[in-house]
Amino acid sequence: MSNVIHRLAALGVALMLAMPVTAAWAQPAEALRVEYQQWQIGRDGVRQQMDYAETLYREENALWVEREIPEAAERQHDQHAHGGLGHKHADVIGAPLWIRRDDQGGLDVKLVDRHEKRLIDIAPPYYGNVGFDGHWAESWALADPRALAAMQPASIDEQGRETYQLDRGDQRITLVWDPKGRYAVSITAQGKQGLSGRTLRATPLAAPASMPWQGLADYRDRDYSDLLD
Amino acid sequence: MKMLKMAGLALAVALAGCGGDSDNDNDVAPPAATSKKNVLFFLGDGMGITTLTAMRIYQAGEAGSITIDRLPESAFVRTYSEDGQVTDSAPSMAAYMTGVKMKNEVISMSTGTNAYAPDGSQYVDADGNTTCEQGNGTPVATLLEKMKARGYATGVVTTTRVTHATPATTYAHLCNRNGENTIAAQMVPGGEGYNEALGDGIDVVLGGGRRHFLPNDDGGRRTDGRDLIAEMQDAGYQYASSTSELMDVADEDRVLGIFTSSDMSYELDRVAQQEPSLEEMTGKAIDMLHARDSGFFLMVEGGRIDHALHASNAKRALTDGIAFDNAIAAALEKMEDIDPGLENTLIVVTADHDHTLVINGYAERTGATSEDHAGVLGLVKNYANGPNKGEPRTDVDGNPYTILGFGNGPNRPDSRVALNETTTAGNDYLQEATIQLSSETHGGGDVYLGATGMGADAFHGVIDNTEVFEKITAILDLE
Ligand SMILES: [Zn+2]
Repeated sequence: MSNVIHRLAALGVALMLAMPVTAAWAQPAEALRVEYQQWQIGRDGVRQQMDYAETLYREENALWVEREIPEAAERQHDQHAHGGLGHKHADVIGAPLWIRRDDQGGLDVKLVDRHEKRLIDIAPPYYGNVGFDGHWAESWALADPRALAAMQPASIDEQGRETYQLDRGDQRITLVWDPKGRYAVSITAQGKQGLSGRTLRATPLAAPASMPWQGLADYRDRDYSDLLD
Repeated sequence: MKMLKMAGLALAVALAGCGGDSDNDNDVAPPAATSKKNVLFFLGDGMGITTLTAMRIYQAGEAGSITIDRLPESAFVRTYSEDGQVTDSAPSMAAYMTGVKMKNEVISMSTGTNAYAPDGSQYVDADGNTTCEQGNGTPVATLLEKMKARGYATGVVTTTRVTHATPATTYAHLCNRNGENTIAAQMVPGGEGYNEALGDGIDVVLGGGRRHFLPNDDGGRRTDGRDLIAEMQDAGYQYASSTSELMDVADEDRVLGIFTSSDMSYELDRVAQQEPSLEEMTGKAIDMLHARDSGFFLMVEGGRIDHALHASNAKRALTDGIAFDNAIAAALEKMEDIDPGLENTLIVVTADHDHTLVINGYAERTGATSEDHAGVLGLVKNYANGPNKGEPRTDVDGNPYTILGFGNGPNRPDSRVALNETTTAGNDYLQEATIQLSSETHGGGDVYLGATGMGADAFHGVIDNTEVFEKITAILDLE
């Protein structure tokens, strides 16, 4: 279940600020493809690298995060026998996350199990178990726009994209923000000694004909603790 | 024994038939007079020996003691099931409650009962209704049923759903633990699917799991349209859905207290007005059972130690473990008042199985955890004199690591990063694991059993989980 920690560790920009619940900018990007990469050189000289990609579907108060899983890996999963409640845990590996926000800023987090047609409710103690850090703005826009104020503005390109920089500890973080689409176009965190780095790159996709959370009517509601014995 | 059980049944039928004032009363043998013995069985779900040690360090430091540490008698318990080296809660608790080894996921049924069909599917539908077939095993009598038949008062208290595996093994019989709608129906006196071996019913039932008592158009999961809460009320139970409602129930009444739709909250997240603590539930259960003046059996489960360990969230596991320990302390105090010297009271505390929690590295002593001190939730630090004393020890790449870790679990970073104790002592921190799984599993180590009171010195050495049942029934002279 690489969801788990990868989602958590992906961003180095953890400048958590209270998130605003109101936002009335121009039409934001409804769908994004986000590529993540992370690497590190160990004391033994071995460089380890990890890559994955996710698709984000976004409405003002809804977010769907879905890992790209190669068909062959997906098939491997399908060969597991399922039955009854399927309370065994492995069934939800790589499952999409559907997060909604209410008017008070409260979150409703569901893991979408397509194989068993279950919507698994994730209570806050289990956010970490499904790779969600609990921060709406960072998940929705890939960076909390309010964190930009704490960074050093560097440049604006002809499309209006803003570049910011921040030095934090051993790391230099560069963030490119698209204010119209309301998302981080890229974030790069580079260890100054050249021993580690992380990048995130987002590209807008054409708006989908329908959002993925449409068509879940016949899914059963389940709790995350149902997956534990 | 058989005779007495039959008598108990007849009584139940009479009560269900005509609201009590029956002219058959004289035909019904009264329950055998007991000598007012009491059995309190405390079960920390998943509370393996490493978890116990970590609980102690968390609460009282390395040299301190929690209540469980002070129990005078002790044994180590093998927990393997009929088919599993590593058990789940169903057959392990069922072994304590029935003396019979069964397969994983089976609830108090005969050896050989199958939880899974030959095609690999489980004997349960997607709503939680059983699909167990006739001939797939037979029910085996539980300690609660045996004591009920002898006229003892009975109670079941848990922080999980009351239909979850551990509590279910005390009062239900099913080939697969996931049939929780079916398990709930086994508790309701006079209703379809009732477990007649419970006589006129369990006196005190407290925990979570409303969803298996309510129809699915009323926020529950029942597909048969039944409202078991209403049925329990019709059968003479008071229903409590909050802390104050529970405390307002008269001790002489019977109670079904269900405080949440699914499991109750972890102690760390609990809102006291909505959900009573395990200590409060235990205290109320003792008051109510003692009020019957007939001796009693009470099972108390700290059920979510296990869930937090599955999540690899050590902090919630330890805080739920300490809440469980507090319930034991409160029970000991109450029982000493009721029965000084515990001459007629046996208290057993154990776990159903281990987890894969480990205490890693050559950590310096940390002492107890407090608001600003991570303690055992912190990093492994150097104990040795010298300039590095108290500094974090590091892995081969120079990164610190936590004292607590897991053999498997969700947090296995592809590359480890520098951690600090603000992070690792946070409520939501998930300790790292060696093998990555979506959730952490049970472990196969022996568990600890502590006991005190009447007959407690029968517990010593390394015993099988089925022997726990045999010892308790021998102490009570039930066979
Ligand atoms: Zn478990």
